Amino acid sequence: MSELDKYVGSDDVLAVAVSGGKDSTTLLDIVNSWGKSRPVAICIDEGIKGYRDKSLNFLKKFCRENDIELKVVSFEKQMGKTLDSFLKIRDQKGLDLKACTICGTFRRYLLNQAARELGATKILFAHNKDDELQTLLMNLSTGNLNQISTKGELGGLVDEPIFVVRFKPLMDVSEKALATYAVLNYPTLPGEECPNLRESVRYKSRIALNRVESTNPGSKDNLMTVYKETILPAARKSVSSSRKIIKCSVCGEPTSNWVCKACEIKRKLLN
Amino acid sequence: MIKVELEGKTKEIELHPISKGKSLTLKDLILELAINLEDYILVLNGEVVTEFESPKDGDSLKLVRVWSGG
Repeated sequence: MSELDKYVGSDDVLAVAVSGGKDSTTLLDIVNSWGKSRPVAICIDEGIKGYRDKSLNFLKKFCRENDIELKVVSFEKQMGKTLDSFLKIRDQKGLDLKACTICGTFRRYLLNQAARELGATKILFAHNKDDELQTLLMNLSTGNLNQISTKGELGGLVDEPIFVVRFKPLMDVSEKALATYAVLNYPTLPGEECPNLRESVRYKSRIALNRVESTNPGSKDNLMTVYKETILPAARKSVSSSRKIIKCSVCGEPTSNWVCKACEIKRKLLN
Repeated sequence: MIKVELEGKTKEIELHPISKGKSLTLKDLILELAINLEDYILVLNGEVVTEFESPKDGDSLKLVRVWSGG
């Protein structure tokens, strides 16, 4: 709640990115209970059969019971196909594209668009400490300072109305704490993992970080401190002058390239 | 003996003190089972507990995996 008080003003219109999973359900519950703003929940339905349908059913019931407005945005309607179908095309074409790359890019694209259309001034994400550190590890391993610079508790460009500011109030909370909270408070929440998880680089990063934490307790907290105090400010300082946001030449959405990542991926898959 | 349930499978484990006057904690037990504590929530006799709890004969421990997906 203190994070919400710190970064959310009385005139902020809040959207919460939700999936029916443990982290976003907790975040939505907290924001709704906070009482200073009536959030709108936005869920991206990727159409992952046997997975998304279950969590979406839980989410719809949760929102109904708690009188929360829910907007569901479908991959199939907005991007032309479900993720399952995109992955079949990827495999048929032999494209080197991870499921998470396709899914993550399209989800972020649609979330920003939906939040903007709702008039949201901030979109809240339920990324936890483990998520943030896994992302850091992945970006460090590819030397991607640009990507590191866009992360952190408050991300997105404040001065660009096309780009809704992103806020992660749960960034200092561990995944295990959130899972424990969910077990205690949401007994009907489907605790399943995405079937595409194990092909991801993120999954390997997760295993590595958990191993380090297990042998050296406190490692994640130490890493988070160094990240927030040193790595993130340095990355932002290093890319601030070179990073310009323009409109994608295909769809008009914000990007730092001539064609945005979502359009680039769609082109590879559908052309 | 305590019952330990992990990923749908149950087995019985004998409790033993780890040294004179010091009883086994769940943390000791998990380490003996070569399980990463970071990956599991501990539910002892239906209640979520920390790894510092000391189990007793007849207790039932369920290890709930910390799943990904927010």
